[in-house]
Amino acid sequence: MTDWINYDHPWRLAWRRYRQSPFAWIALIVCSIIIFAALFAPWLAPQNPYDLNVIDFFDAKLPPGSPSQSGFVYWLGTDGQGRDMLSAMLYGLRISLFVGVLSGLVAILIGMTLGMIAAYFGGWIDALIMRIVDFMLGFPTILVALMLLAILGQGVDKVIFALILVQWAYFARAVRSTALVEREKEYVEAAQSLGLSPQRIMFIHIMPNCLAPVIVLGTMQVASAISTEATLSFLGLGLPITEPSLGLLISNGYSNMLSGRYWISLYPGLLLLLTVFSINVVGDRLRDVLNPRLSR
Amino acid sequence: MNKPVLEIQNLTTRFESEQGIANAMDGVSLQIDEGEVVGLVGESGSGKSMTGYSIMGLVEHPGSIVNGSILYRGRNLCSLSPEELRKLRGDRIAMIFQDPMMSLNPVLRIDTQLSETLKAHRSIQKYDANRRALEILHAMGIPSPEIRLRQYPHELSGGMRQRIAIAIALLLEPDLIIADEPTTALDVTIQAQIIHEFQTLIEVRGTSVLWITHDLAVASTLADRLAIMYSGQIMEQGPAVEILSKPAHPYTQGLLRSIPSHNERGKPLAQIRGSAPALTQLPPGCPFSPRCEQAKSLCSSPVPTNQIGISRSTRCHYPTVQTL
Repeated sequence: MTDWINYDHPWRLAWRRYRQSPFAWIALIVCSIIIFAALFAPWLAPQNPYDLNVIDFFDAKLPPGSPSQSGFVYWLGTDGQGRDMLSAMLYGLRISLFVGVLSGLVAILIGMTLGMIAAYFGGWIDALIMRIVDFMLGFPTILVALMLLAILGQGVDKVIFALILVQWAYFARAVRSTALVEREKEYVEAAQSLGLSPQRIMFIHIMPNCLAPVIVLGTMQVASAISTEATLSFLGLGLPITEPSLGLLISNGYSNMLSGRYWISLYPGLLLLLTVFSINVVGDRLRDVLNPRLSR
Repeated sequence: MNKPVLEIQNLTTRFESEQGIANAMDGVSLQIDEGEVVGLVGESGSGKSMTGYSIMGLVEHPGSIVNGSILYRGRNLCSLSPEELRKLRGDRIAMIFQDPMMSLNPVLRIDTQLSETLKAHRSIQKYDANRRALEILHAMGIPSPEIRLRQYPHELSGGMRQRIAIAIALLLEPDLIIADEPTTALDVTIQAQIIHEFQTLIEVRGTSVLWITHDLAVASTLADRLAIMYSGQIMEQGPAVEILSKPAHPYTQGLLRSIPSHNERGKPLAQIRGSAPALTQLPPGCPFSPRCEQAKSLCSSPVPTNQIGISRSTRCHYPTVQTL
């Protein structure tokens, strides 16, 4: 029999199209390096910025390139407490990415489930869920997060909770609109005619077909969560000073800007910019290659 | 052998929209016996697919079954709970859809789609599910089923996909299969192969089939009995041989005359003039009357279903048995 043709799997096809843009390719490599650096920060960083024993207060506010007492070079200078900036940034990146990715994943889980339920059952269930979504999206993200943190207090867990709360609605809305389209397709009718339960149809049959927009939105939302967290930390409402994220590092150096010690704020700021920018470029490219309106 | 598997009695399925009320099925009565193949023939929009959906309980808002009953082995499907109906679907009554490109899930592998159905109705081990899947693919004439099981729908041809869709429907050996134009989207050669394989399978198992089609030629090769549908009503039903040779309803006669044939080479093809009326604007009485060449004044009054012989009926005021 030769009456079957071997096409590529849609995901593999999307990957091949992704690589056609050199810019997005570079962004993906940068992203990977950033994620790698964050994951392996304890091994890459010359100093453990949380360990007060290794931090020498006399090394405070040294410009980039200064040698330390113990021999190595502060390539990016030191901050007000005498911490190596490079090490502090690697650890800060770790926290920023952790907060961004974890809150994004949980928000995806909640948003996808609620969006799917809304689309599948319709009627008053749909109306109820989507009105809550509208309500959530009606407030500016930063305002909701600020109010929550003012009530809950500081802490990594509280920041993650606040970020989940402000993000899930975006996913619910995106999944609902895709699932509404998928729900009308014949394979859903076929699954129903085979007597599959609504739960199986929703989560095993429809859900994988709704993944493309979620991946795109998820990438963008992780970037936005990272910058929201940085904003919150900068405003002093995010993470505690003992676990400085990128935002907090920027905030710490802010007061030194006018006295010419630019490096304390600038380098964490550049790293934050690079992180958010490269994630967004990857997300943009994903949107292009996963767009169902383009030929598949 | 002649126990009915399915009895549809006076079924009306209605759609309410801003354009008005449309009866997609209007007082349809149809019976399918054990091991019998009933061909339901009609143009698009005649309500033949809706008959399939009504039986499966898949009529969705804004449509609903407003009258009549569907008895499956004596149980009224219209009064079952959604959960009871779900257990019957796929297990005892299965459906095959028109377009195999659409009816298989594009992102799930063939073996997943087969085992999903098995898991929905039986508690079955993975190994047994796999063996059962291989068996049924083999029976459907699918070459190297082990490879096919691990593939995705887009890696298979249309004919292969429809074979798999049929295999999924046959998986749990249902009593009744509703086949909604399963070969319409395929090449004629593939169509013939699939009909042949399907026929062999249902004959061995004694499965009853409701074969929904717009193609009288296909229906006549398969069906024991035929029901001709127009604007939501069954115009005529009876044994396939009799309907094809001696149609009683003017619509059936028109349909049969409009099949191209060798004998009429060069002559203009007979046609039924006009087009089917919108379901929201049906004429009073017989819905076919505006297009009927034999229409008389009585045709605008409600038409009863007339018995015109053993197990043969027609919905016409003036049934004239014509020998073609």
